[in-house]
Amino acid sequence: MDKEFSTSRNFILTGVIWVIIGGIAGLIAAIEMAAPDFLGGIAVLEFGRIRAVHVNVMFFLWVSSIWFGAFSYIVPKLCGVPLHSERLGNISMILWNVVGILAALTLPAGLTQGREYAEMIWPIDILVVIVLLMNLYNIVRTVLARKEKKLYVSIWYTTAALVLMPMVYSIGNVIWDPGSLSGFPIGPSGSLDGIRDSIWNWFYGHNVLGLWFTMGGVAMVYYFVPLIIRSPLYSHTLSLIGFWSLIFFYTMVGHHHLLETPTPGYLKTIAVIGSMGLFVPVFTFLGNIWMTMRGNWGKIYESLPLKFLIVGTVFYFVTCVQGPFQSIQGFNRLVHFTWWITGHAHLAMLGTMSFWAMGGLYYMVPVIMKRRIWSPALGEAQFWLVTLGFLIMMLTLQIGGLIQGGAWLEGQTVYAALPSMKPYAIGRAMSGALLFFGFCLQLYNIYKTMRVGQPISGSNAVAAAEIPT
Amino acid sequence: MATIVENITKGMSEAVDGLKRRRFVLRMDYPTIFFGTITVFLGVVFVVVAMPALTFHVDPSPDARPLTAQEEHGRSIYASNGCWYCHSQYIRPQDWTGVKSFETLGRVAQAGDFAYQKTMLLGSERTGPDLSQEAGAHSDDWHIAHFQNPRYTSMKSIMPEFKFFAPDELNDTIAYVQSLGGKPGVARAQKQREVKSALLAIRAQGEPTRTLQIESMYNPTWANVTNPMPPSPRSLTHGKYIFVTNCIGCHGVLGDGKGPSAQYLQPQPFNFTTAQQQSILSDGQMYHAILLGQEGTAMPAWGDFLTVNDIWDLTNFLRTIPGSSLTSDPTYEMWQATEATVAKNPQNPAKNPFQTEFGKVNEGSYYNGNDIGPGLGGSTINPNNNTAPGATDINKGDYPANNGASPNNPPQNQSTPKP
Repeated sequence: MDKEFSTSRNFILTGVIWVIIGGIAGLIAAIEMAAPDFLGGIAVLEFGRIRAVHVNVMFFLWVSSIWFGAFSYIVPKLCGVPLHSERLGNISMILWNVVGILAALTLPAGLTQGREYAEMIWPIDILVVIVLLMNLYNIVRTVLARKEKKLYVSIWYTTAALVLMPMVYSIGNVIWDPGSLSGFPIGPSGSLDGIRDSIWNWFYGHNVLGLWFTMGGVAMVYYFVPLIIRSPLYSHTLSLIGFWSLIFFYTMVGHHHLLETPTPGYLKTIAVIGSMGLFVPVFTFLGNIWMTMRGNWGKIYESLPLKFLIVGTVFYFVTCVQGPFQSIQGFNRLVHFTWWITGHAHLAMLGTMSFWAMGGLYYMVPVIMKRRIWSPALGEAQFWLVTLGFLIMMLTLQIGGLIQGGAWLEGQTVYAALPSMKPYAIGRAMSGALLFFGFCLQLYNIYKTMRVGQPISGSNAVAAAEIPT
Repeated sequence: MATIVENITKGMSEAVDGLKRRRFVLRMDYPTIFFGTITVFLGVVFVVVAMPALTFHVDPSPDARPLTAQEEHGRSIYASNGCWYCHSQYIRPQDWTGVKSFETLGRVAQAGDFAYQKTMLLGSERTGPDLSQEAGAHSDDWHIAHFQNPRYTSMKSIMPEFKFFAPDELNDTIAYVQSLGGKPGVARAQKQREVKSALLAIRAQGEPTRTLQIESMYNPTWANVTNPMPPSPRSLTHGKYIFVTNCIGCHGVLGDGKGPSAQYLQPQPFNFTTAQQQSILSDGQMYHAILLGQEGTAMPAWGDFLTVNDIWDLTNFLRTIPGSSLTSDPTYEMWQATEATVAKNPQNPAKNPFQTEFGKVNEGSYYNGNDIGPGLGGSTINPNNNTAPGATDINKGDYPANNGASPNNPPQNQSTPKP
């Protein structure tokens, strides 16, 4: 339990298992969209319940687990000291998996807060915040004990993510008020009264992405990309601008989910301006990474982790161009409420964050376990399955969403426009199967690496991470 | 003058030199990162979260009403099952929500509508229809059938089945859905219930009264409206397609009002298979009933989903159902299931394709009107006649005769249900 990098290793391994569970839930939900009588009448597998399982497991038990794992790997490496307490880290890892198990049991049972991305009921919320604070403490103590004086940009992002997420999560869940919606199977839930509640909900709904997932992902890319290509970061000034503008602008944008609700106009204006302002942190980050890659682009063919990370930055680019445009009133009228938004959400969480998570874990696993990846070719197959599956999913959802939105603007009712969505629902379910298969390959590959991967001596560990494909 | 310009130029160049000397440096030491992050975040949070929470208090709108205990319970079931992932609960200025909003005029949501609610269920997607004005748009019975299997009433729906609801859960959920829309919504739902009991009372007295009653429900001018669409093969084929893809959940594939949802509905769905029944409604009244629905019954306003053309073609088609008054017209062909259709439904031991478990039957048979419509799509066409049915013109009288099926001699593989 006190072994070096055991926290990181255990978080990554559990994340690799959880993504399978989240994938099964997502696949069931996608099939139910295309064939509504499939598994019909089984309460725990009903779409509205299984969707919550899919979203929460993918957010918190897959991507977030890799994030925790990456934080407790990157920060000690950059600080030149071991993690402050591997024991504390491992306890937080166990608690985090308790969160996952509780979520996977309560959500299908209908215990939910009825808040998007914050479905987990109040007792689980408390656990989530405890785990976040444990990791914050661990990381801060590690940084304070550092031998390396200079603070690399990844440490800024890691610290900021762990500082901000407990606050974002508490506000979004109205965590001090566990009293409402306590009828039927629904559990204790925090909320405000009146439409103010949705303002808080969507403040959280967007900042869990911006201030947690983006922060953590950017920290990983800033760390791994220069390391793999053995080239210094292009500009520290750009990363500085990107860091502060990310916190400033992202905190504003939550209300762009509510542009056509009866809520105060100034919030909508701030949200649209903030969404436009996001171009600053996004392009400073992407410019920085892509300029760092100058002369080394060919290396994405030589290194599997780099391939995942760089393809992730491309999808990040697409996400962050779509996002601000979606927040403009004119375009929002077309795409709001449609499957376009579902496609966009997958672009962010699957195309970007999951790709970065996969890139990070394929680097960290060999180094931590001191074993070569069992089958780089299988990793390559996984890359193409996931890429292909993701692209089909995004395209079917977003094309379908435009058709849906166009039909509504034309004056069709929702029900009348539904049959034209069917082909896209089928395509989406198919893409989900590809993705699921890809993640199964990942689990198998990591398992075999752990068991029978070719051992390497410590000095060669970093070289081993640059998996030839 | 020259001195002034000189001085200004000098001053400016000095200022630029000064800026050049002072390099812009932000030292990123750890306290700066830690507390700077918190400061920037809390500054923005104050503006976008704290201020609205402190200042944005809205009085209840005139329509807003607190939910009853039963409705609150229904609301928690609604939240529990994630209904809000697909059903939004606010109408935007640009939304056209269909004919059912005749009474609500597509009422755009106001902040005060939500005054009595805790935990917003506004929704972020609209895979299903917006429900903010749903109360009274459908009858309670419609909801019972619809929750059992949404395809029973709405064949294109992709909503999950909720047959796992316990009876009280079902009732409470329906009570909640019938409260969406505030005070006017509750009034609409109440009117549905009142008309329903009035209709049932009248029907209990026998058919003649019922006829009178139905006639009196429509504006008299509708009774004299005739169908402007000639009953051409195109019109009948299209009407059949509309019927098969929208109506058979309640009215049955035979048009006898015995679709799978009929068991949940009172009054029973309209039976098109007898002349006596068909004569109750003129073409105009039938059009009216389809366009705007029939209050007090499960018949919704199909004007939400069908065009004028669709409804007139459907009205034409409904007159071709066997036993209806107009089938004595030799230019029409009878509504009859083909052997092929019957054979297509292996799950049905009785070889009657229309009484099987609805949701489980070969879906193709529902969407392929050619298999189960009357005549036009090749049901009982004389095999010796090679003319493609769609190519004939029934108005010229060269449409192939059917195999002896007539009002007096109904097809043998079909039972004639009692109205």
